[in-house]
Amino acid sequence: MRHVQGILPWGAGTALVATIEEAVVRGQIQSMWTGIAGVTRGLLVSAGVFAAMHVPAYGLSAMPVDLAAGLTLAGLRALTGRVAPCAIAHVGADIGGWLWS
Amino acid sequence: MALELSTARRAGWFALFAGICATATLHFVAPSLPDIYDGLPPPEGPYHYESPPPALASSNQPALSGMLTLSVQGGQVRAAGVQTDDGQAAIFFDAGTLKVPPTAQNITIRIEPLQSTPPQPSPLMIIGNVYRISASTEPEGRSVTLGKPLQVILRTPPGAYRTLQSYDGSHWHVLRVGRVTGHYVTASLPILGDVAATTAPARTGSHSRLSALDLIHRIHGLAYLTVVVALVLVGAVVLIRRRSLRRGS
Repeated sequence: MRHVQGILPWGAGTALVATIEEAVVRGQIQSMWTGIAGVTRGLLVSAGVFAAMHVPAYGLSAMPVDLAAGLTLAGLRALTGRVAPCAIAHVGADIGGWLWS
Repeated sequence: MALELSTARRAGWFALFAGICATATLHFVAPSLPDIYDGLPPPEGPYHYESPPPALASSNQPALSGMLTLSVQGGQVRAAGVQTDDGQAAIFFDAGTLKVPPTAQNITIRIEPLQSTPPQPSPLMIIGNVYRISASTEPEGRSVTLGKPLQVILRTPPGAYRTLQSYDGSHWHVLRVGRVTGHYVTASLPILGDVAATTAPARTGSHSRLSALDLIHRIHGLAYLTVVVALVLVGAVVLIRRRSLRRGS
């Protein structure tokens, strides 16, 4: 388990960024594309956007795992119809992933 | 409406299941893939110096070593990884990377921070610790060599950083640096010996100056923030247009 020094400011920043991402990608983009092109395309577009927006920071090697994570969160959005579960799952994965890495 | 809801739920379940399966598969198939931290570098504790700069001497915690003993099976040592107890240095290797004598039954691999460092790799200078990576048979103590390169991961101290180098006992060799994550750098190490991060002399000691690594991170962070801000703006525009359309209708 990682040491927890500095986790509060980092955790708060990570939670903020993850929540903004969910509000925009799942809340707006997926919702918009679902309205325009249907549920499946909405899911795929939001997963693609989510993976693409992480490329500048993590490189192309991170694209497969981001695509998979994007698909999971998009599925959660389609299933629940809400953004909050996606934001909670996203923040939990970020912080949990760091703590147990 | 019920049909639409049912389609959405079906697609949602499918995507959720497919996404979790893909994430789990990637985790096991390619464990070296980067984790996702949303553009914010994860917090790191202070660098552990073996010989700290005077300003950090009072708060410094000494660098730690790492060791692993493996059995030799069928003349081969299996794939494994070894890291120091403070996580500042690590190595990973495939099966058959270590060339062991035919009679060897066990080997011990060590990563140790050196108190007395080798001569500086002119024109560059060592920053942080020099780690000695060695392997020997147990209990005979015969040296083990590499049949093919292994991967080394080294944490670099804050500040300037240029490259990793290895010392073979007489000469320094520049290593081909691979992926860089935070202050951790990977490189392919063709021989066992000493490994250190190096920098240009003019930059040494200037902790406030930006290293190339820090600069790359800031640029990446900036690019990431730009994308996030652009998406927020797009989302805001879409939201405003939707509301105005609703009002119009």
